[in-house]
Amino acid sequence: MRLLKACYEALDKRYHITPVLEKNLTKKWVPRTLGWAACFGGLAFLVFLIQVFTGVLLLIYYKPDPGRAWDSVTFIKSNVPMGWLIQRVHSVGANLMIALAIMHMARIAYYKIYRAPRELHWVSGVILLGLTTFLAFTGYLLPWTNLSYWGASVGTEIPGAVPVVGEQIVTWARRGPTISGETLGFFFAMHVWVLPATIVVFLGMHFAMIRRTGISKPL
Amino acid sequence: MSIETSQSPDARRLDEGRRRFCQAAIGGMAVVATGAVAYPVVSFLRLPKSQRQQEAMEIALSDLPDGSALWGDHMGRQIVVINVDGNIRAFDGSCPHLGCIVQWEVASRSFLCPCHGAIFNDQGQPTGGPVNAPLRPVEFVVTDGVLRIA
Repeated sequence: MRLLKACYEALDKRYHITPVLEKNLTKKWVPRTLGWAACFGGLAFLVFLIQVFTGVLLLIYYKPDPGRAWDSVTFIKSNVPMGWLIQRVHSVGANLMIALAIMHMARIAYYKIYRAPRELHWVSGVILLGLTTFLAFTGYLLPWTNLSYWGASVGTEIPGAVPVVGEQIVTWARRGPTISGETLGFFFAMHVWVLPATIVVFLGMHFAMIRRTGISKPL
Repeated sequence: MSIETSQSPDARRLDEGRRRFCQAAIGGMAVVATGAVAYPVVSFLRLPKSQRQQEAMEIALSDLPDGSALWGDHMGRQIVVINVDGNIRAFDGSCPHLGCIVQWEVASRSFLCPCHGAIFNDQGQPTGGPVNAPLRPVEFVVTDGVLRIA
């Protein structure tokens, strides 16, 4: 403890960390009328961090190959110590993240917080909800179960309703006419890198804008 | 923004005591929470059961036609099982010279070490190269056409 304190003091002396912490964390007062409902956005972000962490753990054993995907998930759930827990946290977390994002948006909509000057907060938030949905959808295929196969089949069928280019979008998203090993590889790449990285970019914008305008103060 | 504290010494002592209790309670909860997260994560990073405790190695003899060889992993050793004219033999596959894993040459029915060219016959006896020790034989039992190394 004393060593940690000495380390902190040495760093603080050189880089003046305490004022930064006080301004942003320990002495940053929020409006007293703000209730627990204002936490949903932050909680959704917390769940996102949990998803990244458990996702990296699952990546150690997961194999994005149609012949081995299901076996590898079963291996995680039954052979890896605490694997059942990590896998379950990741799958429940996906649902929780979407639920919290929607609860966050419901509050913003109800109190009309999206109005000027916060219109772009809302726009970036809607994009984040879309990205989160795609993240959950691509992750759903990865265990390569019957349920996930048909989930992906039905889901990729939806853009088929778009006039003219619909069929092309479906074929593009499936990497072929039907769900196959190619689809699995594509969804895997989207799920573990492309979508999370895009979410991080939009989260950065979302948070930066909130810091510039400040949070909306309820009456 | 500051919280007004009462000025009497007794009240201040009481305040101090409460503050220490709260600090200890928060610290304790933080330790418990950290442990609750760290335990599953550290467990997850340990080697899974099947890679930690080796079970007996089993090979179906129907997978091992005459002249062929099969490799398997047993207790951290690479085991090679060969079938020569119906005679089944199992060896520790690491070369007694410097520990490389030997190859089975189907045409000459001999083992060849890829590192320094040691050669062993189908009995595991050295016939050439820088070795004078044989491949270590491995004991096995065959029941109902399944070879088993315990």
